[in-house]
Amino acid sequence: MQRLLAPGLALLFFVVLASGFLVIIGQPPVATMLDLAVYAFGDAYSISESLVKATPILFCALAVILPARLGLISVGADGQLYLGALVGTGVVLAMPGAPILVLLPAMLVGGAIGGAGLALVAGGLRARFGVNETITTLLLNYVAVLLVNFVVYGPWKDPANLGWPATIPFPDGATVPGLFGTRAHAGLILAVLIAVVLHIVFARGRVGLRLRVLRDNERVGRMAGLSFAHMVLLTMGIGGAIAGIAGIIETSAIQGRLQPGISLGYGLTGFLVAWLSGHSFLRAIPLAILIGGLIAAGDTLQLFAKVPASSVTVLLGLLFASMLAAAGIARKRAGAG
Amino acid sequence: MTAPPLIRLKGVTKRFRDLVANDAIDLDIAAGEVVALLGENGAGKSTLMKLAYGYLLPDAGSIEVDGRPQTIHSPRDAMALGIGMVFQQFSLLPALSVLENLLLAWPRAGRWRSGAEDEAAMEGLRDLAPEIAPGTRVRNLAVGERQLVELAKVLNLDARLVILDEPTSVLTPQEAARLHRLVRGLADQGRSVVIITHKLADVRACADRVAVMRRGKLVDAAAIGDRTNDQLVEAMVGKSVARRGRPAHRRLGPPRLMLRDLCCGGIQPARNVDLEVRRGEILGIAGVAGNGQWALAETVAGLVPPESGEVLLDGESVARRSERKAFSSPVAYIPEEPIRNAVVGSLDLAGNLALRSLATSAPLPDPAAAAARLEAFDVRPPEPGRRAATLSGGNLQKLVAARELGEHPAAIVACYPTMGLDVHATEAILGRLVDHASAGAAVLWIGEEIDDLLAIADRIAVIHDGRIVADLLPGATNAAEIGRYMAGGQSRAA
Repeated sequence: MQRLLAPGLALLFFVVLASGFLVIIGQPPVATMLDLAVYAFGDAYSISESLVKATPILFCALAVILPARLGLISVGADGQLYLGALVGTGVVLAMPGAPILVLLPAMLVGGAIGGAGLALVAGGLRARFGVNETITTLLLNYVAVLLVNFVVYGPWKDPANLGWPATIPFPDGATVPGLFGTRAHAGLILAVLIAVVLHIVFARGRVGLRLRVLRDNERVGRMAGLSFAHMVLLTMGIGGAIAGIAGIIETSAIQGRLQPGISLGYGLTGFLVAWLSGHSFLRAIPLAILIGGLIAAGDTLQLFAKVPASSVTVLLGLLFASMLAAAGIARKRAGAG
Repeated sequence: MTAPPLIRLKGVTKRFRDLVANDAIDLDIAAGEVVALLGENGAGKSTLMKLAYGYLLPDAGSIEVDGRPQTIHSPRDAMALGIGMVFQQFSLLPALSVLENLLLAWPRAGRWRSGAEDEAAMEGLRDLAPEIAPGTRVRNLAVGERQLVELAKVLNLDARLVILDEPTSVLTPQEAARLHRLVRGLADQGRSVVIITHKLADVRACADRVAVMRRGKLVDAAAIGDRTNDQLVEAMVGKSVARRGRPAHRRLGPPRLMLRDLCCGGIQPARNVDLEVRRGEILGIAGVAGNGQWALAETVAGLVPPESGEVLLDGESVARRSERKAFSSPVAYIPEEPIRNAVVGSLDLAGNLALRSLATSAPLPDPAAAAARLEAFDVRPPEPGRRAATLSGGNLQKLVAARELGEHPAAIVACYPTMGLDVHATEAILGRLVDHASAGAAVLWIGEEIDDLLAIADRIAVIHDGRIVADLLPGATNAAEIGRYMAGGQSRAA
């Protein structure tokens, strides 16, 4: 019963709050919510669109969870995603004719390096000078987005686009393969794989324990021969690499070229998923798919029900608030019992 | 008709699950009276006073203040009744300055800060410890200094009853004497004071009456003149404890742990320390808290790099070189306040035991081995899967000893290792240090109790203002001489 308390309460809160909101904007609440569920997971096409949205969210959640295991609060997944897309695209532009077995891995490595590089700016400042990583990752997001704008409006703009800010379309050798002929792609498999590997490494290996010791008592960690600075660089670097991969995969598989607006707030959504999962790599997987489904369903809903686009963002916010409140209540009850 | 006591506890009982922490306690405290609440760790002294302070609620019994029954639901209620308590820790905000901490508890605080009010809030502390600057952040204060700030905070409340929880456990003899005088002064003003303590010296120095607790029961209460020390110890521990005598003379070998012109930075730095600890030797370091002991201990234990100078173990450098790079010193380290300095509270006991091998690829001990180690060091309960934060201070200190002393270290740094521990736990820790010295370890023991240092150390160095000012042999000195050096009365060169 206790285990079902939090999800049950979350559902209850969400239904009540969402109904209220839908009534206010003049939509039938029950029908609209049923539509949402159908548009999210009702048929093969809906499911594939939900998985498309879930993929970058899951990557970004993993990029947040990793530093969070050391007690760091990184809100820079979006920026890391953009810089990953930038560097990965650079690799593609440098050797567009290379065979897929060379180009695809090289592109992914480029994306990882880009994301890690940006994350390490914040990580290095934290490790060396104790600068708050939340502030630096937040601000570096703008830097990364504007850098992408700079290259697609400037040096990397494809003249054939007639002024449209985007690079040349990616060649086949730089296209992440799709799944079952849908828009869902191999990136999802990679994200799940990374989540499972991280889970195993943390459950079986020593690194999880090391991070926990440093997070809870850095003095004792020092005594044990651990270096907080080192672990900051490690977790921020790998986290950034994961977000960077999300960026280049999104660019390659979904957009097909580098252009502004790669991310629909995936970084922040990933941050919330990370938080809701209780910083668990495994729990982030279903949560990312659920949230991805809601976002995808929102697009469809907007098309058919004439609901304004921003209303889906409102529903998403209500869902997050409901889940956080339910988790808080469940924790309090567990503490009292 | 006599006036009712300031506070009367009647049949007060408090249970924590199966443990009866306070079993039907009756205790009166009259106005202007100093009562010493004596007992070992875990006897229930602090619990009883937390009930009076509203920090905990009793399961049974009643509390009367000025003859009227009162239910004290919270410290706020207690303060309104004129009851204040100084805790051992936790009630100061480390990130704020001394003055800000005092202002937070300042009862007459106006809406806006004023210079006059700042002055008034600081006044009490100036009397206690003029050397503490109002702008210092509390996290930069030594433990002894924090306690004085806590005390000033409660005195600012004009409490009629002041409860002090183990106030002298972190103070030097001189500071303790100052506190004892201050307590007498409070009594002369008509206030009542309860001193929770396990030290007979506190009882003798300032109490009118002594109440002794053992295992949750009040076993004795009498005017101080009616009890001898032997009677009090017997009431406290239930059986006579043989004080560990000076151990058989150990054969001292060649120098093992050497500090060469060592300078340690920090708020209270240590300067130009030259010391040698020989194989089998216990070198005690006496000093007033906050004279560089902490910096010295952390540097020798390899937690912070020295500013200059060298730490040598068997001729090889064991000093940390970089602030940020990982480094694990072979020197075993038992600091004070284990929950802050030596264990990870959220980790289980087995994890805490394995901390030293965490950074390596050495296999972690299995649960059976961990349980055996916990048994051997009398950690209670010896359950490897239990979270460290649930253990008492004494047991945490034993846990640290189990980790640090388990592998026959060549050198040991112990910095106030017995702070706040009861007689049994203190004897156990000091006994371990002696055993390791006998087995050839070099022991650097930064001590708090001069009597303990005199009884056990082979040599006593005195630190004052960051410098070693005396190097004495226990047989050729006494507490008074050490106290003079500690106070900076004369230096070796003079």
